[in-house]
Amino acid sequence: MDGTLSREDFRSSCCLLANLWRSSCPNIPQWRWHESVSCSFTGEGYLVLEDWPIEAPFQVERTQPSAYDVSCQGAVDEDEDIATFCCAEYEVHFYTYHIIYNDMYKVPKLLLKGRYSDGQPIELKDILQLLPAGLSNDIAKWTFLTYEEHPYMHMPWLALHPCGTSELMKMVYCGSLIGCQDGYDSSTPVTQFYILSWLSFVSQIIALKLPREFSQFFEPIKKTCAHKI
Amino acid sequence: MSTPQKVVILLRATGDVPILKQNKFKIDATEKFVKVIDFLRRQLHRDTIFVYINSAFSPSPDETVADLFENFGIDGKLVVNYASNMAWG
Repeated sequence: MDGTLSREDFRSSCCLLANLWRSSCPNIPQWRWHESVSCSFTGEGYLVLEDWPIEAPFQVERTQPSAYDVSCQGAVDEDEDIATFCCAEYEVHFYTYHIIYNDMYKVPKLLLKGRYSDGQPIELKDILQLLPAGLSNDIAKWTFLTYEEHPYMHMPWLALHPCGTSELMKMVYCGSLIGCQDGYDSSTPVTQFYILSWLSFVSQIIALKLPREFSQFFEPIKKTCAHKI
Repeated sequence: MSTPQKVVILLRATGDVPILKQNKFKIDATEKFVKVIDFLRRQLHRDTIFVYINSAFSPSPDETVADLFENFGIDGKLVVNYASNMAWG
C-alpha cells in the first residue's frame, strides 16, 4: 500500500461509501456516483454530495464577490441598526462536495462550493472562518485550498490540493511513513475503504460533520486490524 | 462487549512524532473524543495533529469514547494512533 488508488478502485470505493451512507442514513443528503458522459473512458465519473447543510455563525457582513455590484453600499449602511435587532446566532449554509479522481497523484481530490440560503456563493475568506480554530489560525498551511477549474464542469471550484493525500493514507494504513512492514497484507480489502478513511480526515478539515453512523461503516475491517494490536 | 465506565486509551505514535512517556490513560466513557485530541495537542504542543483509530479512520471530535470503544475496542482498550506535521498542500 503506497497510499495511492487506481481509478477502478476509486470507483468501487466511492460506490461503497454511497451504498453504506444510503442504507445507514437514508434521511440526509445522499452521495451519488455521477457518470461522466463526456469522457473517453467508460466508467469514469465522480462522487457528488449536494446541498449539505452546515450551521455557521450568523454573519452581518459577507465578503462580496469581486464582480458584485456594490453601488447599493450606502443603502446598506443606513440599515445598519436593523442588524442589532437580529437575534439569530446561526444560519445554515449549504455546501456541495465532489470527490474526483486525480490522475497525476492517483488519489481522490475534494472539490467544494458553498452557498448561503439565498443562493449567493460563499467566498473563500468566509469559508476559512468556519474551519477548526486550531487549523484556520495557521493560514500558511491553508493556502492549499484554492480555486481551480473543475475538470468535468469547467467552472471554478474550491479544491483541496491532493499532493499530501498519498502520504497521509500510507501512514494511516501502514502505521508508518516509511515502511509497510506491519501493515495490511494484500488480501485485506483495504482499498474498498479508502474513500471512507480519507473522508474521515478530510471532513474535519473542511468542517463537514459526518453522521454518527459513519464510524460503524468501518465495522467490517475491524477484524483485519485486530492482528496489529 | 459492554462499555465500562472508564475506557483505557492506548496511544501509538506514527511517523516522526514524539512518543509520549504516558502512552496509556483512562478516560470516562461519556467523554467526547475531542478530549483525547486536546490531550495530545497539549502534550505535543502542536495545533495540527492527526488522530485515528484502528488504522482506518479519524473519528469526529464529537463522538463519545463509549461509542468508539463499543465499535473498535480490542482487549479492553481503545488504540489511538497519532501523527503530526502532515502537509496537505
